[in-house]
Amino acid sequence: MNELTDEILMFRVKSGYLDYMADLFLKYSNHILNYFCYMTGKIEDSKDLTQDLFLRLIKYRKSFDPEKSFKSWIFQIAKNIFIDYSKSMHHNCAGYENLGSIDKDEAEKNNFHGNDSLLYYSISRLPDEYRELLILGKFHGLKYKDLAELFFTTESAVKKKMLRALNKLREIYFKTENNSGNEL
Amino acid sequence: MYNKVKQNFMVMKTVYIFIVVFLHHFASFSQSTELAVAGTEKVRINDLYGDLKISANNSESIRIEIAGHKNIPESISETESVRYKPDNTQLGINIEKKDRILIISASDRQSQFTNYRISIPKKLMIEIRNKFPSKSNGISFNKNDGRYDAFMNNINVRGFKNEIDINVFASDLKLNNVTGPLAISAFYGDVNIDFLRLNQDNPSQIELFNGNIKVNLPYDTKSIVTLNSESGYIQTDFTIKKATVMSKNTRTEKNRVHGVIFRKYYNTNITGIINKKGTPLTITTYNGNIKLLRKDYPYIPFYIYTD
Amino acid sequence: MNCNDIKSLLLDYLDNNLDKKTKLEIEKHLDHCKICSNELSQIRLLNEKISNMNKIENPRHLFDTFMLNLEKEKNRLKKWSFGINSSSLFRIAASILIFITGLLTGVLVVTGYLEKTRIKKMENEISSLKNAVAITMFNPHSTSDKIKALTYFNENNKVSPDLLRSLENALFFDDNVNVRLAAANALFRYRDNEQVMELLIKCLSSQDEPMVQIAIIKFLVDSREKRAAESLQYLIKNDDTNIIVKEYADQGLHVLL
Repeated sequence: MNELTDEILMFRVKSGYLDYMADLFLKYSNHILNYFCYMTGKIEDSKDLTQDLFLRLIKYRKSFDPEKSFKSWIFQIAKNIFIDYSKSMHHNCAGYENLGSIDKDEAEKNNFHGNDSLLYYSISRLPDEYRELLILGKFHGLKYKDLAELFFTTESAVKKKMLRALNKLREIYFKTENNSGNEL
Repeated sequence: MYNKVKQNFMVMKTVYIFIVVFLHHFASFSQSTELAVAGTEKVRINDLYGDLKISANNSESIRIEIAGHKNIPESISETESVRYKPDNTQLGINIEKKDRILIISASDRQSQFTNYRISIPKKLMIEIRNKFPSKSNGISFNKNDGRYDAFMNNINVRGFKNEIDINVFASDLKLNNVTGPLAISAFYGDVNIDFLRLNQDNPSQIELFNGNIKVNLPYDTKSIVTLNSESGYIQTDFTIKKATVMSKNTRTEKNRVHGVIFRKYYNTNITGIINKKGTPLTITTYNGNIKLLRKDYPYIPFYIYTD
Repeated sequence: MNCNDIKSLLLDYLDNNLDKKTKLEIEKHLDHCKICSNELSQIRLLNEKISNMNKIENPRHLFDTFMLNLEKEKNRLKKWSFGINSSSLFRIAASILIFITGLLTGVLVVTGYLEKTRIKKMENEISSLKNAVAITMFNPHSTSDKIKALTYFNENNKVSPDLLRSLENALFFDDNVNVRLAAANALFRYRDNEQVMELLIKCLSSQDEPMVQIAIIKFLVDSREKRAAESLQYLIKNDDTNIIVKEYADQGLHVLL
């Protein structure tokens, strides 16, 4: 109660002191950028999407409910932006295999596919829902409670889905590992 | 003949206003009452120095009546650069709607010192603002008393269920049957507030530079109170728990009247809890006394509170 | 326990969310069931890999672009208030034609310019007019909501730089005097904080609302803050200062010196 939480900062933005959005940007822009990158596989687009998200936060600041968690709100909006984006892209958005479209230098500069390209490939092959759950839950470290709020469901439902996502990922990852050279 | 009557300002005029001619840039409002108030959430009254009686009504419209005139004080010169808005109500009042706020102001010097009765739907927020008089108003202050009296007026507000925000220069304020939240400040005058109950969602504050404050609060109100009266006394029959008393030279008196204990604290600030933790209530006067009294307490004869 | 039971408890097992008894039972099963223990180790591996995925660096220019966008937004909202300016001018002009009062057009122009300062606060609310579905828990027109926002989280003795900044903003820029007073009172509680004191002294002269000026003067004088003498002298000499404020400044100066 005594420290400056994200909810308080957003509350102030909502009150009209727009400058506090900068603080929230500094805190969350990296998370959001990574989220978009791993969801879309495209770095430049992800940068644009990130900017778009923060502008939306300002435009729709009135709809922020300070009683709810800011984190789930921001990821809700991120999710909406991602959905709009994937609709406007006419191919499956998991374009990790389009890594070819990101030139190697840029990928390396951005540390994008590091050491485990198999992992990225497998993640990219997952359906959007599962991928998102894994990114938010395991990569960003959102707790089950937050995820439940984000997806408008219960914690137990989230856990079950998470398990299914991991199993699906396991299937792809280890199968391709076993069939190396086949689908890659 | 009609002109003469019209010019006779002592005739009571009643006009029912069904709001508003002026259109906002982004929204259009018909002249029907319902629509208009539905789009309003706040009424702001600017710079009226006559006596004001503002009461709450159960309807959807605002009603304004002229209830007399004050003399325009001599100390105020005729030539000022005050901006007035044109009269669009035939009462000397200008009503304008901006965003979701209805702004009421005077159209000329005469109407600024006219007394008005205003009836407003009780769910609206109220804001009353009388600016500090500035030199450009032609005010000259003598060392003798009476320099504020030119602007002194009585403002009565009763029956509202929403927030009341008052910032005035010199007025005697009486608020009855209100719930708050309150944000009240005045430079000069006495403040009398009778709460129906204290709104628990938002804090309430009352700040006075010169004058006495008396607040009647239901005996079971839950609140964290802060009472500041460094040059006067604080009198209360509430029991203030977990009180922190900050003072330079304090004196406390305890009196028992009909079985009720009144405490009087001199020249100090007190913060504490009444009943249970609740919404913050801050009462400050820089030059005067504070009385915080219980009301509706069963079994106590009412007459001990008359004062 | 059979393999199916284990499967549904795997996540909780990995998160260490199970009681000792269940945990032991699972481990017993894992000891002799190769399939399940294989599955577990695979999931564990994936968990780790995912959480160790490379974090993409956030380039500096992302922030700069954001700041530019933020400024654009703020300016866009300000521009709108000029739009309202011309509309209220128009309205006033129209009303004069209709009602034929005696105000000069010159006065009207001045009125229009003054309107701008009064609706400075409304610049943010204008955008909500276009946003048809505006679900608000916090009402931008409500003074007490603003005061609550400033003072609600104000219950300890430390003041963070962000809190200070928000109080400072409210003290100087808010349209509403009561909000400014609430901010001032909030700041007064930190009288032991050097930064707060300096802020109040330095900015005494840039405060334009008389009641707030008087409150600050009283506070500084009561705190016997000699450094405030210079600001007080400035107020006394300045023509724009309200007469009453000058009296307080004068009195205060005598006390301090």
